[in-house]
Amino acid sequence: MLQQTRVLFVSFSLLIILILFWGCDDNPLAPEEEQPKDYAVYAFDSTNYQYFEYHPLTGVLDSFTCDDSPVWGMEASADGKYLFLAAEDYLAKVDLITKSTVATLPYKVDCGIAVSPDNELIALSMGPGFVIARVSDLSIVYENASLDYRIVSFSTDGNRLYGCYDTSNTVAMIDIENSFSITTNELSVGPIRTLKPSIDETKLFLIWRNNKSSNAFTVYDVASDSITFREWLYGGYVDIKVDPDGRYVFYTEAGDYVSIPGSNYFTIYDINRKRIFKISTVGIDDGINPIYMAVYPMCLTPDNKWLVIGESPKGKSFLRFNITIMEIDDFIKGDSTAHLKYFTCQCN
Amino acid sequence: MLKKTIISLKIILLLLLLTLFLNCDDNPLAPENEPDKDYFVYMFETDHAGGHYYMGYHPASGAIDTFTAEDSPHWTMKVSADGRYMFVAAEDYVAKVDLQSLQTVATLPYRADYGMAVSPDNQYLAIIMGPGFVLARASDLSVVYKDTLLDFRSCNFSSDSKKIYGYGDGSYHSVVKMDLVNNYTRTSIELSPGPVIHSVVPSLDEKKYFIISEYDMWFNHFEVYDLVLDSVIFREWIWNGYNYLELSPDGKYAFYTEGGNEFDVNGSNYFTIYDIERNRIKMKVSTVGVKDGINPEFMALGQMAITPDGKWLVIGESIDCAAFIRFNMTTMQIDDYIQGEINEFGIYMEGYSCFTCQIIQ
Repeated sequence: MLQQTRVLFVSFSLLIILILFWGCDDNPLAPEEEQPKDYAVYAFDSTNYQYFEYHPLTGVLDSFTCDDSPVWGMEASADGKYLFLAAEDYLAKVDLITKSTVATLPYKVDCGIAVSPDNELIALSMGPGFVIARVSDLSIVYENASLDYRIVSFSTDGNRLYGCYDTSNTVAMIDIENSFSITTNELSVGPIRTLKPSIDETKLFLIWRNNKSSNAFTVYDVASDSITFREWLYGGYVDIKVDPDGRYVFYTEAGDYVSIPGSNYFTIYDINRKRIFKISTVGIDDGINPIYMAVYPMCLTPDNKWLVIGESPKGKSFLRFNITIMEIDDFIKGDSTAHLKYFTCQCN
Repeated sequence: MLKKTIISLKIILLLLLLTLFLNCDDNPLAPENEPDKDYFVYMFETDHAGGHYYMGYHPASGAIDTFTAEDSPHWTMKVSADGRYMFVAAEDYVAKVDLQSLQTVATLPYRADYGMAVSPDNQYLAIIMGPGFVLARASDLSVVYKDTLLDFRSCNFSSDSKKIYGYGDGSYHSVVKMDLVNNYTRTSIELSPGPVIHSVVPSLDEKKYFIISEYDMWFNHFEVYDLVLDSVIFREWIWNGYNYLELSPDGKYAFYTEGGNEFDVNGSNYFTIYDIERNRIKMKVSTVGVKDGINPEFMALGQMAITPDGKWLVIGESIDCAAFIRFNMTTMQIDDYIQGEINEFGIYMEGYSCFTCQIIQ
């Protein structure tokens, strides 16, 4: 009898423990959430020739110097271990641990650098000229001295490269897996300033020049060969980023540093809903007498949690936008002499 | 022995089940979410053929009703705080219209050409004239207080209905507070010399004023004045013209539009959400693409109405207001666009005005 009661009691207890574990959403058996990774966003201060390393997760800001300095542009490797610097007449690969240049390539990379998401290739565009090299040792994979497109982005799978040219409405696509064949597509827009493909490459997000004082953000649908969305922007400098999840496009309209002040907000385009909303910088430093802070260069962390945006035109300050809560939650006021450029972060 | 054990086990089971229910986030004992109450946002519609009618838009369902009533607004209209009556500012009088029978049940012979305000407790109706101010009981429109010389503009009741805030009373740079429980005494705060005030809305705790003021023919200010600090704590430059300002019922956000004017100022094709606690602009919500992503019209925004549950913000197009949008305040997205009739020449046949919604849930 006692034996039967014990068996009954133990079975019952086990059943209840099982109900407790499986019945709740906050399952105590579930693995703990992964800690967010502390990615670094790099920028270059072209006045004081120093690099900034900002950690959006913690808000920590460091600075350092290197053997080389960028003149035309700067990109982090996809794994975040190296910086590629477009110096005056060459490309330098800088080790971010030792801060030393570990390899160089003798090209004047004055029209852009792109690193493939798989960290295998780096594309360099000159005006004119185009080179694809291996990230590991900068050995050349492909070279075309006459190609005159500014390479702006790899596809997500790293198999294609997209480019455009400031004075034309043509988008170029280089198929790396297919003998570097180039296909071009003339779009019914003005000269294309910059572009990004969507994650699935069914759409192109473009900013093109309408006239001296206005640009346009446009969504081009590849399958239907048509424009599906357009917004008119201020003229001048622009930047565009697509978030790693493919939900949003972020873009800035920075003005021309001369007569067009640009916008003191940046825009978020919701890709699925085809809608936009704008995040203003008014009041982030001082609500009473806020500086007019137009924004320009942007950088996304690969975990899609942070967007770091620099001030335009002089880039003394920058801000951190928390993508999860959709709010600006840090404002970093730099030295009054600083001119921060080339915000970059690993993409993997 | 076995019986005792079974009883003990039953008690343990009950206790454990109770613990389970109380510890789980998705508590099965919790009451189900109440369905959204179907509030009306009223507006008055004028078609180009000279017809006039009221429109009741249900933000929760997206349904639209139209009706006519014995009286029509000439200057403006305000729905009562409980949503049962409409106060209609006709040419030379104010009419109280029963929204069930659509009959006028009371009138007051004042020309409310500078607007009206309804107290959140549904007790009072403030009638603003240029000049002149009348406070009447909402129940029967009997006059409680009257000053035919008072120049008191942009009146808004405090959340406890005991004070009215506006500007004027001798200076268009002063915020004026009328104390309804203290012999209608008025106190003024002269803001630092500068812009002429266009509208004033107090925060729920009355510690801040949200102000729209005119800077010059091109620009206005949206400002936040902190009474404790006696200073402006936030300012944004916005386009001049028809600017409207509303607070969310929970007091978290101020919404404002920049409607431009009929002359040189286009206004903005977005509205702004100001986060009161964070003293920041939360976001600007654009109308680009709400109608047509490819060839979007420039849709500047004007009048607004918020449902008392704080779920929906309905915003009309500026100037002619041939269309309006619904903004879902839970998802922070524009999720409906309603356009009036267009004739064969592509000209809008209708215009909406006087957006108003009840205050009490």
